[in-house]
Amino acid sequence: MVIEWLSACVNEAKAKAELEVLKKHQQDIFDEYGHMSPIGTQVNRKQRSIGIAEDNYRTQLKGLADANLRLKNIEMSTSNLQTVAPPDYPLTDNGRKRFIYILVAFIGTIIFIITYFLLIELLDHTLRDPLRSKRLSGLPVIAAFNGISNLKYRGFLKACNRIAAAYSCRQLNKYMKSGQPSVINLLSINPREGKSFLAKYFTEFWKSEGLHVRLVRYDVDFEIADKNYIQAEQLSDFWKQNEAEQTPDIILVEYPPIKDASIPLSVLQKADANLLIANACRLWRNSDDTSLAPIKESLKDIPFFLYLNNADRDVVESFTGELPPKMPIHSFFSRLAQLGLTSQKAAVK
Amino acid sequence: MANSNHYPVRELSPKVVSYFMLIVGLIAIVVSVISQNLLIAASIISFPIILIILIWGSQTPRFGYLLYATYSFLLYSHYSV
Repeated sequence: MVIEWLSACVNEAKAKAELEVLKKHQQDIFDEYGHMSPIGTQVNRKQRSIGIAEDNYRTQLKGLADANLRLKNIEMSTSNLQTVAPPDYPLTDNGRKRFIYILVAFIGTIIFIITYFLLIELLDHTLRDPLRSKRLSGLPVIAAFNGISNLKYRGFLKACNRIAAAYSCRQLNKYMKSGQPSVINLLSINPREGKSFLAKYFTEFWKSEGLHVRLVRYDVDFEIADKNYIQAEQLSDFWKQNEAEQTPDIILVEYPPIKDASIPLSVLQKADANLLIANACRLWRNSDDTSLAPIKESLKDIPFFLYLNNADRDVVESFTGELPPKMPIHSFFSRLAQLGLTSQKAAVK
Repeated sequence: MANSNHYPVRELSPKVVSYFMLIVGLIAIVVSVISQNLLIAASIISFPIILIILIWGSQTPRFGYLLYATYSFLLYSHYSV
């Protein structure tokens, strides 16, 4: 009896639980239906609007592709091209003055080149040749020296230099005094213009003529930062000959560059000749005129010459005559340049 | 040598510039003649002459007088004809 009652209680509890689960499931279905039932009416409308937008896009795309195709078709078609110049070879005169253009180009180019070089020649302030050097510096040019930069005739360079030095020394001999040492001053505006180089050649030449030459150099034989030098009235104030030395016939005095050190003007005035050595390839600056002006003023009555160093071969030849090597073609053109149109050799048969 | 200011200076040659200007001028003449601009060609050709007249004339008064005399001669000879 008790067992039957117990089983009936269990069955009742089981049936209650099943009923509760079924009720919960029913409620879930009701909730889902309540949520989903309004969407069903909107789906068709959404599908329709998407279809319209898609159709619109496809229509535009097709129109664009058609327009692009039509543009390419217009570009590729030759029917609307305009002929600017027909691709024909001209069989007759087409009116262009070709000959005049060629003549203008030829004559114009020649005029341009000539006037361009004329302009440079007129305005150039490089020393280069005697005429230009005299115009720029105001000093007479006594001679010119070849220097060491002639590559073509380098084998004859020493011979040419000896000839040029001989010419210069012969020119300077006119200013020598007999019975007493002659003083020749070597000056330059800038350093390294060739004073020592020229002095070496001068000394060699005069020695070959039997004259005794004494070279007096700054920083070797006398100090330029010395009171005796700066205030010197004569050469013996800052340099004295060694008693053991033979009395020279010629004293070559090499002074410091004018722009770097002071030059005793009184000593220059007492010299027999003064040479301003200048590199022929260099520019004659306004500062050169300024630094040279007091020296020129004080040496008005004393021989004061410009000496061109490192000059071109033809400049040296304008003083010395033809330099070695004497080649027939060079001699021929040299004679033509000197207007010896009907000339013959100097030596009479 | 207290005021000695020797220091190594690397100098460029102005010769290169002058030759470069010459070549540029020649090329400009050729280009202007090919493109049939004779006015430009004439102005380039006469440029050095104008520079000579201006600069050289200002440096040497005699040259200026000569130019003025030439101009006057041409002017009066034109009226006399």
